[in-house]
Amino acid sequence: MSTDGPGAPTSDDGIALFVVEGDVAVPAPPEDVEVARRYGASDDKGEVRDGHRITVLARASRYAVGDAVRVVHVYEAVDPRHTLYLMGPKPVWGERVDGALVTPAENPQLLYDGEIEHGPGVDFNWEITTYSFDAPGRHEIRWEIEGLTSNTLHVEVV
Amino acid sequence: MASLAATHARPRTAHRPASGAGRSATVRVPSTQPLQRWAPRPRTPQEVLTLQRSAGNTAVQRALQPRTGPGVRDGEEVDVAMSGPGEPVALTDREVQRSSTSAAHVAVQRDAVDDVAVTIPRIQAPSSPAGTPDRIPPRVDTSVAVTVAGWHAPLLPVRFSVVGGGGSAGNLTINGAATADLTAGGTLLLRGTAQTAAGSGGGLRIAASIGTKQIALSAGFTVAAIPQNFSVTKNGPLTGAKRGVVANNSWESDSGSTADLDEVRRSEKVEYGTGTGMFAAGVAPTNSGYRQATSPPIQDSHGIPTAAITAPGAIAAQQVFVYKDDRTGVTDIPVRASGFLITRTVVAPSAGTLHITTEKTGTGGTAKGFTTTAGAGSISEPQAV
Repeated sequence: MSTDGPGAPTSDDGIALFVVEGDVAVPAPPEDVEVARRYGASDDKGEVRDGHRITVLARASRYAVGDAVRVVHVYEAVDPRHTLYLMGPKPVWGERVDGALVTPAENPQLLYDGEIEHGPGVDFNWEITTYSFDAPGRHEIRWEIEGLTSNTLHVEVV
Repeated sequence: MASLAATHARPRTAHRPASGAGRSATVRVPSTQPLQRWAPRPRTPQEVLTLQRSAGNTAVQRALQPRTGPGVRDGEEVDVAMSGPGEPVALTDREVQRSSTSAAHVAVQRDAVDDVAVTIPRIQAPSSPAGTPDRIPPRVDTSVAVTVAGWHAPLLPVRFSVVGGGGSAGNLTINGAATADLTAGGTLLLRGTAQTAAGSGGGLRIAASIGTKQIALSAGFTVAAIPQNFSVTKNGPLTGAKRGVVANNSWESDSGSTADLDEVRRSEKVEYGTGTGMFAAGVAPTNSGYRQATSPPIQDSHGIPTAAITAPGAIAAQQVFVYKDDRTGVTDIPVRASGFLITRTVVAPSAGTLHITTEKTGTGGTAKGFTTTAGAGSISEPQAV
């Protein structure tokens, strides 16, 4: 989904995120929506490159062993040359945990059929990835697609 | 008074209440006995019934024209009784009952409101897809056929009015006014004048009444515009790293103004059929979240990475638009006439050469369980790869 402008991470009806259940998109849990809403004010975003950027967000930086770390993905077109693909939630590819690829390396979607908008705008309509860790330690989560690299999430598991 | 005898020298029927308001019994009166000028003399019950209409101490032919005033209760007209020469007394229900057995009272006639039957169907605009709660759009008329049976003069007309109108419930007119009167079945033209607020659906009703007595009441309904009639035109080709076409998708509001869709959101569903050749592996269905509906057109892209076009093949997808509406409180209702078929056909006109044609055509069908009729328009984009 996109917004009328950067920094407003909800669609115009207030539903911020969707998750896939079966093959049906349903509104994401409120906790995930709250994470997405932080995007506008966040200082920790991916670097803008060629007029667009990608960012990953999580609820916290400290988790207990076994807790679910849910990662929200954001694509932002800063200038109008870039297109927002609003169908989804789209599958995430190119995500790495501690440097290891944990999703497909390439876009698994062969076809795109659906609404687009031209930037500037923000697209939150990506699948939410979930990770858990079975031992204390520090971990890094990063997303890389189409020449863009996100910010790095630093997660401490205690 | 001289004309009374001739007027009444035929069989007539008097109605007399059996018990309670509006209940009546019928008593036949002699056909040959002419009415006499009123005189303060002892009367038999038959005579009393014969002199059923009276004004003051004088019998008249028909005195049922007044519709308001002390002689009317609950829309039923009640004659005055004669407790003595020249002394009219309004009857109570008990007195009415007594009048049938007592010669001391002039009989009464009560018009049988309960004999009138009115039916009001569901208040549902024909533009409503299946699953839509009862509703009408604003700005345009919705015809509602009502039936009225058993009405007869001198009853008041059946008055149709809006119950619950105003404020967050929204409002409407009936035949262009606040109320409409009918004495037989007919068609009411309902037009929303104010849309129902989000979360306040179903609070409007149409009532049918005679006087203050309500005869019928419709089920609750909402004033809410909904989208319909999607159409497609060509925006342009996808080039460079992609092949395909960008379409302009537009739609209408059934109110005639898409600004009325401010509590509506739309979503699109796309489901792919079985592919052949390079598409044989299939494609997962997709959908969008819900997005605003007040500003058509939108752009729909139908693309494939150029590098992924490697061999002949074909695949088709059905697209269906659905809506949610916060006025009526529904989600995932297929938009009427919003179906499109999206096809991609890759051919090899010569060795080492591939061409792809991307088409989008209004076609009814089902996507991810949502079924609609065909949208309008057709576009095609043939391209070399």
